[in-house]
Amino acid sequence: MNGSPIDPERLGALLDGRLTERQRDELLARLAASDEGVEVFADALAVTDELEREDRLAGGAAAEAGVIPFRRPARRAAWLSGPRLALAASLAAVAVGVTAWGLGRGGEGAADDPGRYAALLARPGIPAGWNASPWSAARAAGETMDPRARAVRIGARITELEAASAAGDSAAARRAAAEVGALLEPLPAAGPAIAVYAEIGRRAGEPAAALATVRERGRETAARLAGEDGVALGAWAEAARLAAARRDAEFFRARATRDALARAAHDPSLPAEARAAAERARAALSAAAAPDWEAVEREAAGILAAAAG
Amino acid sequence: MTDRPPAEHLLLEHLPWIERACAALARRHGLAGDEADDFLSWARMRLLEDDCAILRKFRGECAATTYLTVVLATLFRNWRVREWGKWRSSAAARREGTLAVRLEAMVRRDGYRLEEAGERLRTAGATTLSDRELAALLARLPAHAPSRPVAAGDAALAELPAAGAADAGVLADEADAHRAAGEAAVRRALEGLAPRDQVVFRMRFWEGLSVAQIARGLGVPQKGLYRRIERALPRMRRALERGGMTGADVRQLLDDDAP
Repeated sequence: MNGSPIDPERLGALLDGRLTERQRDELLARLAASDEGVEVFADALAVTDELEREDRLAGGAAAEAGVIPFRRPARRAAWLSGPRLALAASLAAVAVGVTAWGLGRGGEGAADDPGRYAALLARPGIPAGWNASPWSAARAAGETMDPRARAVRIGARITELEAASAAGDSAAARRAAAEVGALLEPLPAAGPAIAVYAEIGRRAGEPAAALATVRERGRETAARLAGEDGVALGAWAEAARLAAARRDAEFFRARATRDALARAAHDPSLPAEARAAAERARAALSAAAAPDWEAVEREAAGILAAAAG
Repeated sequence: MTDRPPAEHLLLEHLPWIERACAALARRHGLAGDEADDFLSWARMRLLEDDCAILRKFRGECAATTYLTVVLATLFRNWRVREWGKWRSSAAARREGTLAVRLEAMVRRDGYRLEEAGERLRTAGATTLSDRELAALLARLPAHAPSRPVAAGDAALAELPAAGAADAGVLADEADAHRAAGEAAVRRALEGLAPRDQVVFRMRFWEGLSVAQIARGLGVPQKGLYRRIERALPRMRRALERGGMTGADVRQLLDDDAP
């Protein structure tokens, strides 16, 4: 049982939950035939688990002592190199705790990366004539917006940014980055995060991989500032809309998508209209014949409209 | 492959993470002191080699820290094979914790007598347990011989059994044959499982990970994973016994009392 070496980045994507179900099964079949692969994967998993536990303990101790945690108690440690004090102050504005949408894969409070839903899309890019704002146009990015509505909109824009970047659509990426920046603006201590999105907008013409780290930082800080639950919901719902528009069945088969849809249908903190739309989307997907794609797209838009309106 | 962000920047930005991950790997495998430092230095050199070639391969398909963790786990495996050959800590020791891993490495890998190992561990502040308590801990770990030559001074040589103990070699051969037959039985039994179950079993029973950790790593619900293991265990037991393993061997291998 010693197959060819497995790409470490592929193993990393498995650990981060960024593979589709099919990709995961293919990788597990390769792992089953590789002593080295299983050993490395187990070590990486154990180490990640230990370091996250350390970070959570450090975060908890700091909170008990009234100190703002410097490091986030979660799985990724990429941080802004800018004014960390401001960033740390911004963390204080965000409620610390485990919430339905913020639950990690292990249910231990590790925050989900809102970019992972866009990564599940079979085709990158934004379709021509895309209605990017299925929510009420009456509210702009101003200060009066409901915090969750703001977070959901940020999540949706993050998905658009990821999808546009992956397709090399610099105009759409620039636009989405600018909108995330504008949505972040009224939030306390958002300066460093806004600067990140300004940088993403400036460098939108560069290859997607060149900005991967910067975008990841942006996603992390935006989710922390605006609220991980809402950002995750918005990111997923927008990705679901894009997937439905393209008849992307693989996206809806992915575990992350099924989990997200189930959460949307049952999360009591969401407006009843959003929950009902999620239920209808599930029904449209589970039809005996082919999914009713138009209904799925409509209901995903309905979730966004209800949660971000 | 990308040059942006510059590989050097990636390295510098994540140096603290690299050091923590190396320390965690060292703890998991019973390295301490100079040995742990040696691994960290060696790993850093590998990351710097060829103008940070390893880091330049990073495509951004996972978090940078996750990529680094997997790379460091791979490097650790290479370092371990270079330093220790095939020897590695047992799953049972990893389930018992760092002290058991270090004790096992000192006694079973490096050939220290129990009281020497105990003295060293107590001096290093790794434990306050007595030799008797350490012996009880060691007795819970599977017995296997050190697989690399052990540096021995005159004192150690004086303690070696007399050459007249001719049956020692025979017993060692029998133990090796028993171990090889057991490994073959395990491989055959595993091959009867679905690929995902093979990975789950290996991670659970050979790598010493908890079900919660495995569920998280594979992105599957923990509850379902318990059920999956429960369903596959009897088949695995039967296959191992058919392969010639004794009930005691199977119990030791598939002891599932860890969390």
